[in-house]
Amino acid sequence: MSGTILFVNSLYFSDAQRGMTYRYYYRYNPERISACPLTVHALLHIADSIAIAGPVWAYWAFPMERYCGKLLPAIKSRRFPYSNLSNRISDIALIRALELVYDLDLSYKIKRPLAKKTFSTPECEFLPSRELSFD
Amino acid sequence: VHDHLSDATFERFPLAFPSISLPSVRQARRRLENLAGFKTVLYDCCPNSCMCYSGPHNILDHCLYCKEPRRNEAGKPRQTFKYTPFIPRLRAAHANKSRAQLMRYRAHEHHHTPGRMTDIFDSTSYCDLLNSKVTVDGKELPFCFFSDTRDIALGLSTDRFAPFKKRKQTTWPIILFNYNLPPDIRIHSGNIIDLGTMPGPKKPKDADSYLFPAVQELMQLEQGVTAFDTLSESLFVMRAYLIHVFGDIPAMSMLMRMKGHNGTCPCRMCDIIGIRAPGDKTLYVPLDRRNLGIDGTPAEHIRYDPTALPLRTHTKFMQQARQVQNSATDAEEKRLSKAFGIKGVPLLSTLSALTFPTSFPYDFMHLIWENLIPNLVLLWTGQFKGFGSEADRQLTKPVWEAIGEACGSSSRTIPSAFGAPMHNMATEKHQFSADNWSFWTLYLAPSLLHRRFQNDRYHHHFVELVHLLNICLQFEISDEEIETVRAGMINWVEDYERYNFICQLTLFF
Repeated sequence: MSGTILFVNSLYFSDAQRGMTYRYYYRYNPERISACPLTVHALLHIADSIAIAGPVWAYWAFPMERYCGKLLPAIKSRRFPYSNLSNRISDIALIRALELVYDLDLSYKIKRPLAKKTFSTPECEFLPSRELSFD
Repeated sequence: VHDHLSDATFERFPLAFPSISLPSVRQARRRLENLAGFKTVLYDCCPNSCMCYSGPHNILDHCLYCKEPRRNEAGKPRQTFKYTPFIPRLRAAHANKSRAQLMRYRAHEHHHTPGRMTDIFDSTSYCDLLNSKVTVDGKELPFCFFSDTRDIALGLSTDRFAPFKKRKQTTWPIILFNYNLPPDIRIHSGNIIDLGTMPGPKKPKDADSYLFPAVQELMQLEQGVTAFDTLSESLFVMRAYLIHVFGDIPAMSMLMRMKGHNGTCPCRMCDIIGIRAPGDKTLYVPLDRRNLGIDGTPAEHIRYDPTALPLRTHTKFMQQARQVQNSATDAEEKRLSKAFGIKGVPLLSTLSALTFPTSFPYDFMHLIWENLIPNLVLLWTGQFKGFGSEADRQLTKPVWEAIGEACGSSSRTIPSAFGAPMHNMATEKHQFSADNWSFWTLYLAPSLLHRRFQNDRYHHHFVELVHLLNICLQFEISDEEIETVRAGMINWVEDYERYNFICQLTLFF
């Protein structure tokens, strides 16, 4: 009796295994093709890009996206957003050129003296790190 | 300008401060232009932003694409494109002592060591340029690229930008990067050279017409313009070359006049043919398509060898582009452009420092942080389109929620210097920026996902990717490391196809 069960079990397993191996080698399922967009293929070109064009940070889009983010507040009008944008772009360009031509700093940053973060106890006094010297 | 003051507010200033006399906005702009020494140029363009009436199109009265008239009844242009010339700005940069000093980085401060990649000046394309002569209009000029230490290397970038939240309308700002500056300040907003923005509301059909003034200036710069060098206190011939053009895939397809990522021949680097699943319209590009039931395709199109992809070369690209451009009939043009994935000769090809397609490298940020990793997450959580079944899910819902929770609460203990604060991955994924994705992938995910997958194989596979990405992001990459990335990526993509593109039963392995 046990022999038969064993036999049945082995038959079952070998069948299942055969099924799995068959499916394993039949790996490429047309229904799942959408998992292969161009972006996965493009990975194959990354090494070439680095060798030919340089390190990835030199030509990635982070600065471009940040630039776009900075442009966004320039839009004041729902009707003429593009003139808002182009006016701002040209104004900025002109001001930057002015800075270069006349060697100005037009950023209008208020320069505050750095607050000294010190605390002292009766026994000792802590100096801010800038004032420490090691010579 | 700094505080985003509107023109109307500026005009109202005299009401608030009657004691000081302020010029009107118009006068202020004119004065700025006089002081800076150059003017912005207005070009008319199509109200649907198909094309710009620049250069050879200046004689037209109607848009070539949508047939809309150029001017309104009063004879005024219906839409304009404001272009800010950049030659005067480069001149000013050379005339400014501190800036000129900084711009010496390319020739004087960067030292090229063979076998080490630290900046674009170590790349093969740049090194090749150093030894080749400049050619303008087919004529070879008697000097090599970057022969003067003051020659400027430029990079151009453009991107889709939606002014409103609905993201229906788009505008495409064009900016230049000055690669002569040291890398740490190169991308500071003060050092970006903005040229203008192709106005919306739609994607331009003829982006080249908007680039025309810029290309005109770049061609002038290839031949040289006189400028004053403040360091040597002498006049010299200033030259600048555009060596890189970059942006996401749609932006680059637009500038390269290619069909784009949904075309039959979608990749801009190689000739791989896209393929569609039965009953599906979109084309995909797996390497191995043996079981897709396609008959009559040549053997090399059935299984692509990732080590020897049919790469596009400059000569072949240009030849194909010309073939499309010169085709006799519309049908012929359609057929050819479909086969090549190229719509015509791009205007940028007139610039001699650019090589198609290698000067248009794939943008890492969009490719990895905004596409690949989010897609992987969708695949793991069973949310990828068409992959909804329970058996596909490598991360079950409770597991994924726990990971999201851990991820969201991690921001309290991570110093802000590492990047933007993290959100809950499971509930606030839409808020993830590229920065978030990058930090999550490189630092959080390898440990968060450890032993969380149904099948540990997926974790190994992911960690392998993280390892390769880490190499790509190093500040200094050696030749051997580039080879590691090459071999690693090939392995990774093949495994990816095997794991994700497979029958569900393999999940039991």
